[in-house]
Amino acid sequence: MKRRSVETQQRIYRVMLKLFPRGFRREYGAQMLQLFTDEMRRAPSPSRVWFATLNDLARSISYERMEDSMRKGYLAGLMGVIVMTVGLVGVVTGRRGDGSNLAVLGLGLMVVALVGTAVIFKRSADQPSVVAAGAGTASRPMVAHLRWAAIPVAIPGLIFGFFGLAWMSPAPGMIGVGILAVSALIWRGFGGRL
Amino acid sequence: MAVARNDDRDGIAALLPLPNATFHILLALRTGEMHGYAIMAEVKRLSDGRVRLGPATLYGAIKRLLAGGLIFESVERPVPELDDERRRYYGVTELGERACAAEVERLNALLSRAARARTRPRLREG
Repeated sequence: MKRRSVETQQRIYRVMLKLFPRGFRREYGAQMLQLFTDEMRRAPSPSRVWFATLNDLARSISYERMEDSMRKGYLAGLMGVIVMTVGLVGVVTGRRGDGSNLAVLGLGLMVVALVGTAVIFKRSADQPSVVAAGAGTASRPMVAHLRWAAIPVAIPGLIFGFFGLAWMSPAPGMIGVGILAVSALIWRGFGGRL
Repeated sequence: MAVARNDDRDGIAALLPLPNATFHILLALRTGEMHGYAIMAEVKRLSDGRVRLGPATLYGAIKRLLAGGLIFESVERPVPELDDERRRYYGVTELGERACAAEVERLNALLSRAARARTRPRLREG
């Protein structure tokens, strides 16, 4: 392939590399670009390389982004903040009125959120190997990422469950349990471990 | 999530089954230290062209293999005439060797079970 044409393809690929997390890009971006250039130089037609490359990028970007977010504990932090807020609302509401149970439950939720987030952060810091969990996105189906949808589904479940317990009312409690069960099914259904 | 341990057999058992790309990369590196393009070419050769690792898949897997201690980045370089300083070379660690051997063992056991299941006579109805 002509040198000028390869340089153009390189420029496009370099732009696409910006979709990867910064740390990954800094560590492997130059190597990936080198590999892509080698492929491009040896390939009979650029379209074939591009087809494979786009497929490769589509599978890898989401995985690397997700892993990066998990490592940095963004998701754990977000969940912790949400559960802490619900707990705080419980404590404040309980102390204003007569709901001492509500205040205790709120406090309990805050403790759970704090301890849970700390544990997840600690585990993230230990950097567990993800080799068995899917090194090489070639073998990891994209659909597996959908298991993370269980987290936003679980949040209203926790809120309903909390108010069900706080008000000693079966209706919101049952709704909460139902939503949590759906969330657990989503998690398991897409390959998560409980 | 499985954690790679450097000291026990159980750590390897927890890594199995190895994902496709991981297994192929380890198999390729068993033949010697290689850079990314050579790994890609070797994987293609080993799989008769069926497994093609793109740059992102390859380096994503390499990152995780390095983190798990299954491969290492080599400090040794080829002779200057053959070397390209931009390239990085990787080799398989002892843990990686053991993981690869355990996966081969697992696949062999699976294949022999599959062969036995195939040759078992079927029960006739009635």
